[in-house]
Amino acid sequence: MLDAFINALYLAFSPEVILYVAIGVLMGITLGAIPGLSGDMAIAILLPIVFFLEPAAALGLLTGIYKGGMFGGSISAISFGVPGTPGSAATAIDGYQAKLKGYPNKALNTALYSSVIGDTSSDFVLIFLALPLAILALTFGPVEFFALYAFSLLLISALTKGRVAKGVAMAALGILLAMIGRDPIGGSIRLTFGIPELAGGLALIPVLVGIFAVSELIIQLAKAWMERTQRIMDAARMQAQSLLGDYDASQDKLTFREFRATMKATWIGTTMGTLIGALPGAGSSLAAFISYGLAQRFSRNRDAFGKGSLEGVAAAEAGNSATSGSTLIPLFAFGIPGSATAALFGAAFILMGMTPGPRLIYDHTEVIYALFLILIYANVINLALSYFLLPLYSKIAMIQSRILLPIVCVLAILGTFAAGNSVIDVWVLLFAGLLGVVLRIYHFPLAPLILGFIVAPGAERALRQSLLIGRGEWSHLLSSPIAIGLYATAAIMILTFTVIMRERK
Amino acid sequence: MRNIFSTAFTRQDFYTGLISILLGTVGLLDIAFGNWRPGPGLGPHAFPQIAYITLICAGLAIWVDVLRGKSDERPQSLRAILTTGVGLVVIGIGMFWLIGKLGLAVTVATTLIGASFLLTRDPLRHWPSTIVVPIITTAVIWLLFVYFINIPLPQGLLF
Amino acid sequence: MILNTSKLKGPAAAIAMTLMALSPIGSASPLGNDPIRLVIPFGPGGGSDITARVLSATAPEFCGPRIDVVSMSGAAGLEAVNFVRNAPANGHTLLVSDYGPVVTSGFVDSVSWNHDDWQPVMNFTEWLPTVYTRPDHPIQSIEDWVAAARANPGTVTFGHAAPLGLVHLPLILFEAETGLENIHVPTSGGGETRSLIMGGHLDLGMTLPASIAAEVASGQLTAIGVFSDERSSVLPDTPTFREAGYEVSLPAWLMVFATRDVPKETIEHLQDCFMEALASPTAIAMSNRINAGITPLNSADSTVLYQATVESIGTILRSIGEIN
Repeated sequence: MLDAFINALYLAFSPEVILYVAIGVLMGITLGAIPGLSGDMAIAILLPIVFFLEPAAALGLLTGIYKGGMFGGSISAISFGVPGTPGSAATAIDGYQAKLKGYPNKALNTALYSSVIGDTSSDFVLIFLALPLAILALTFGPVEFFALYAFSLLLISALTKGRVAKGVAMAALGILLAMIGRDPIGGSIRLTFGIPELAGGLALIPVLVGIFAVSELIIQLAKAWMERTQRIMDAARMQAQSLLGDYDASQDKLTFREFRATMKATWIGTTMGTLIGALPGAGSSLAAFISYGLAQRFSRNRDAFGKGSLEGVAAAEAGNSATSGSTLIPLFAFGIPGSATAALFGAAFILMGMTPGPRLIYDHTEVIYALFLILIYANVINLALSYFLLPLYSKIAMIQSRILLPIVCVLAILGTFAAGNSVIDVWVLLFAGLLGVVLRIYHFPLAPLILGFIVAPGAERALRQSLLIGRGEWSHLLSSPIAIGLYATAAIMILTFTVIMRERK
Repeated sequence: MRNIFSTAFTRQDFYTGLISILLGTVGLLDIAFGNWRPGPGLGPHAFPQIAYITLICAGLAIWVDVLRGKSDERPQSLRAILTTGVGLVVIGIGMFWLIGKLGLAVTVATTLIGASFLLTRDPLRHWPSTIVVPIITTAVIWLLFVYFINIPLPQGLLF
Repeated sequence: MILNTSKLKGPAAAIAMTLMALSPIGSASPLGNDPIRLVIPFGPGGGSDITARVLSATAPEFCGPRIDVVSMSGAAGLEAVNFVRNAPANGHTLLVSDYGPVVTSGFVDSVSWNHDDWQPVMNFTEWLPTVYTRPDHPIQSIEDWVAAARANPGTVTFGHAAPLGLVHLPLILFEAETGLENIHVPTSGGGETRSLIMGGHLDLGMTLPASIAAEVASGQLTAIGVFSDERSSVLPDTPTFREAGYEVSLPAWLMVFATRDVPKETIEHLQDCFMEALASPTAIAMSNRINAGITPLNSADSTVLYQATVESIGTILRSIGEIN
């Protein structure tokens, strides 16, 4: 045991492995920041590397990419309102507002710290609590999953401030978009309007990047275009403008006080992200939205959410990143890949001749201990690299939009294509962008739409599976204490918050 | 009271509510009379049905808001934004078509240079930002997408 | 490591190695230097992806150009099929698929091709659909299952991935043969089926042997029966349904396809170099490591197998009223 640990130390901290982790983190951050491209995709492309490298080095590279990608997504989310990865969609809500208010660096730093805190905690949970959490995750069957999805939908739709009705309408629209394609239970095709290419349904990345990002880009392009055609800026002022406009980097530093104020949100995100990450199939974007919703509920500055709140950034980013360690729990405990990332790590293990599952740690103790160590110190490398790079990123974020916008557009299109190698995804991206524009200018909130889209497929499958197993009895939905607990919590939370809201007024 | 009803039609959100209700109704009619195959258990139409009913309810709630005097303001510069949107979709589709003809590098460079010319005007239009930045970007994009990722796009004549 | 990288010391050498793997290798070949794409109609990380990677790692040495595995899961796999179909017919774009996206889709979806438009280049392996459950479940054998389903028809819950896929059709065939009734519960894939079975939410499930072999060996799962003529090499203790007296066998396969209009010489060249690559010690070691059970069939034998599958799937789909 101790021998194995010492050998693992040698493996994990060999200069070669450290270098690979650092290369991976750097690649992950860069690719994650490009909308559409994500760590998952880079891992899929680099999977053959396991044939050429020693296991510890290969796992180090893949881990680095994964962790870097997790955080990289938030860079473009904050800088351009363009979530680089599905998990960072919730980060874009407040992060981009913060950038518009002129403090991208504060938001980026908040995202970095909360991401690293969430990620590291999640890794420790993977290392020390994998088995109990995995057993808990297995108690989640269709009945419990439906309760969880219903819980998150209720929580988020009720979260839309002011115009609850518009939020609910958007959630319904999101559900409908998710229904396009093949019915997961019966296999029949629905809502495709006779287009055979839609039979596979709409993919998450193009819908998400389209609705959130392309719509934002269109609005900004329109602004840039109007400024040019209407000549509202006089030439002198434009010439005086430097590449960075009037952005002053020295004013934009995260203070310790601000950092401390985001800690509660970070821990909410960390807890929710770790728990949801351990559930097979739930996903990091759901974790981010639920964390964001809960953090808003429990925040003292609830009204700042949606207007550039650093707490909002911290909760979303911690929730997103905290799935990274725990998503491997079902893989390590039972050999079940619970997410796309876990499936790729599982494939990497298989290609190296290591079968995922409970025997993994006994059969390959040294490599797995080394992986655990890498998981932890990759966060430190991520923190260190990003710390030096962030000032650069915030400057890039503040470069004049008319130079940057077309580039971001082209990257979004190519990145979305590369993510699924699908031309249809590009059409979906562009049309989702148009839809997003229309919804934005008519003041519809976009977050409930995305959440409806993310939750609906799982919710539908879970509900219909439950009813199949329960032979059509709706009471079967209440046959599990976990499900009843979730419904009760949702009811209590919505009631208390309504009461608190009333009292405040 | 009469006053509220008569001004309701002038409110922006009267129409957004209306569209929401119409969408829900059309959907429900489609489920009732359209070509939906039955499936095991609830069937494939159950979830869309719930969503349509929610849409109708939400639309009605938006109307209630309007009657209570809550409505979002009319959008500004609607035409410019929508034109840009349609323009971007057309350019996006055109870019994809061109990639099949000219190759990725040439198409991306042309698109980026064209876009920079469109968005900047004389005092600020200097060659570093309209020519050099697009070309450097294109080189990076080509390296990333074609050389390393080798995305399966139709091959063009050039690069 | 298998490819003798242990001789190379230091990250620089390994990076060079990786770049070599990612860049064209200049050698004379009728295929030229343009990379070959193995397009899979599924997401990355699954069994087809892993198996195809063995070919992409070993075949460049024999075939000439570099080989990429490209995953296109869009439109339920049809996008991959259409991409290969519309690519230039020069043997550089190949489809690696089981019978779902080619045979079943050719019957049930509105596609612009028919089954004769596909030319098998090679078959990797036969996949034997296997019924399994957890070890503390009362059903532990084919006989237990039949008895339970006879005693209380329509009570045993059975989890399977995509409806009409290769781990669902055997169940339909078995029920048609025996008149048994089970509750079919479609899941999002093998991972979900397995966690629902291990968590006690479902009774039985179907999967492919490689993905449960380790768990069966360690006693975490019980494999009940295999829908094939012979036992699976990775699950030697699991009986076939035929042994239990039920004439139900529906093995699946993983084939490399080219379109019909690819020249015969190109297909022969590809077949030869693929077979040669998979017979190399490196490939055999890899195949054993990943439990893939790769036993390649040449183009002619694969074509026979393919046509037989088209025939049998057609019969099943007609008998359950999916097609006319």
